[in-house]
Amino acid sequence: MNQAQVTKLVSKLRIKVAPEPRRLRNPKGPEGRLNKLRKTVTGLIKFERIELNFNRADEARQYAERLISEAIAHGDCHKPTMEIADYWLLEKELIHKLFKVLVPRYENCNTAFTKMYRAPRPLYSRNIEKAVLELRGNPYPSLINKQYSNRQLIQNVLLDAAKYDYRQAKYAEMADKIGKTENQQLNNLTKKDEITPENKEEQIPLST
Amino acid sequence: MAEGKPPKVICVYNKKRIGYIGDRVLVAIKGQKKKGILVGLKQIQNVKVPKFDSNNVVLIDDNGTPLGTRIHVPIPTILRTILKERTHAKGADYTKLLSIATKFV
Amino acid sequence: MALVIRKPTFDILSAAKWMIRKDCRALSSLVEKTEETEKRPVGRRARFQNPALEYRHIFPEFLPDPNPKWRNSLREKMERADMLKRRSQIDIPEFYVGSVLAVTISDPHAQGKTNRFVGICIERKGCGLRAEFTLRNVVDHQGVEIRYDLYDPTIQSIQVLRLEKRLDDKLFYLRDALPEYSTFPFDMDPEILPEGTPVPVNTVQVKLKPRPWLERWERQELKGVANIEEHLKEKDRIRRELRKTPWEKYDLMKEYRKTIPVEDQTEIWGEVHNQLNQLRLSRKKMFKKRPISTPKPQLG
Repeated sequence: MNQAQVTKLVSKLRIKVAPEPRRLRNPKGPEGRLNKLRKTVTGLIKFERIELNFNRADEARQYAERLISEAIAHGDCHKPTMEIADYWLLEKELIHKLFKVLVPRYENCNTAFTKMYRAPRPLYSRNIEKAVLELRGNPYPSLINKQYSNRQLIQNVLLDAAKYDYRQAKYAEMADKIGKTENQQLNNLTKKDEITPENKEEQIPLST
Repeated sequence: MAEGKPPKVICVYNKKRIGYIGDRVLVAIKGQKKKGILVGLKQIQNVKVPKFDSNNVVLIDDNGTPLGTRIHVPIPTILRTILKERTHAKGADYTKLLSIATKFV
Repeated sequence: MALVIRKPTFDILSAAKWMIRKDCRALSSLVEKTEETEKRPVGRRARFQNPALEYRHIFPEFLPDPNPKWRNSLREKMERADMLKRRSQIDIPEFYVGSVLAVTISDPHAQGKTNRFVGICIERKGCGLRAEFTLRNVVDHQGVEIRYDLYDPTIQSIQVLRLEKRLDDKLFYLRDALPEYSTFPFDMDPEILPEGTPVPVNTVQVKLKPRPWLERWERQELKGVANIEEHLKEKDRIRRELRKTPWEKYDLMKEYRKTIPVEDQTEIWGEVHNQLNQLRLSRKKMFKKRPISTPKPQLG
């Protein structure tokens, strides 16, 4: 049972945050863990898409999102935010990129700023989960190619042709039906005028 | 005799052998062994029970009568109920301690 | 036939939507021009400037526990309702760590059934109905600390004798300080501050007694202590340097896990601030209406 700290205001992160931080085994302890994560976050902001191990990617994602949300909330001229950016981004051009490029990109964003995908594990190597961590709106082509509506793909070509054939068959059936009903109506009209043997029997006069 | 050493609690008359407020204890003081009652503790207490900066003992004899005439230190009010419970008609009478107390906190 | 019919209606709807959107866009452009001149903060920065967020300093126990394992939204809502009910019964004033309070409780063990204690608040902890505070005073050269539950129904009154803040969050170093810094007379008069003044910050630098201390005060970054360096040996200074963790202040996730985010806080204060305001105003009215006590006529 703890009392929440009220000195600083924080924006809510739009990613899943585990209740306990991952310790990420490091010979230097917590300092080494933060150093390694610093390098990861710098790399993410520099390259905008990196591939690495899952646990480190998850931790770095949380720190990257926090960094960007602090930058958006407080902006360029706020001294503590500048110090935080100075600590986390090892290359100083990236501080400029953070405040001048990423902040306007994500200012009106309602979703998380990063995306993480699970990558295929390397063959014949350590059995470790890999992940790809990228910033949203990065200039690379998307990793997931969900082109359901691309009419040039073979499955869509075949499906379109099948739909077309089905529709044509349906139209032909309906045309046949309409034709049949019209014919029946015509036949009914002409049958009433003609004197057929059935009709003749009916027309026998009553007076005998 | 050995007047230089501060008084020490040697035995707590308790099943658990851990002293709480109002427990009878054996104190080694000035080279002698005397009985006493724990009146204020540095231990973290429940809410509304005061915690003192030093452990305080009031020396007592076997009948429960205090050996001194005044208690300078403030005493928690909870002792009233605790000591009344422990007083038996034919056993020790601890309420005399409460009468010599100057201040209740 | 059915497939043929669907198309024209869709066309009409989409056309209608486009027309509406066109109109709305024209309207919005007009509004934007007037807003630009005011330069209101947009998006995230606006959320941080909500005036209701100031309540987090006055009523920190309304915020829930930051540990997600101990969160329960229903229990929190019910606790907040109960806290407001209790506040409508008794005035729990605004106070901070470092203010001097006088608390009267109904004590079954005491002779007069009530017990009054005056002391300086050295800590405030807990959230919800389990919020606690500790008062410290030196009585007859004996330091006494008493813990109280803020929302305890046996508390008859909490009176603030001196409202002020200190430089630190917790004042446990008063236990190792000279006793004059923790003594407050029981018959202290309440010091009333004029309305609207910000809470004064007492920048007193407390002097500590020589070692041994209860905690290693030199390793905690305390701002309210004067003479720590005098009592340190070379060994302590070396160990302190080795033990320092300068990276902790940049650990963004540690900070995040200890705070409630702004969006959740605005929700909570939105639920609660109306009632708290009403209570404050009704208390002010009652205080003004109270007749000034006339001096009793002397007999004989």
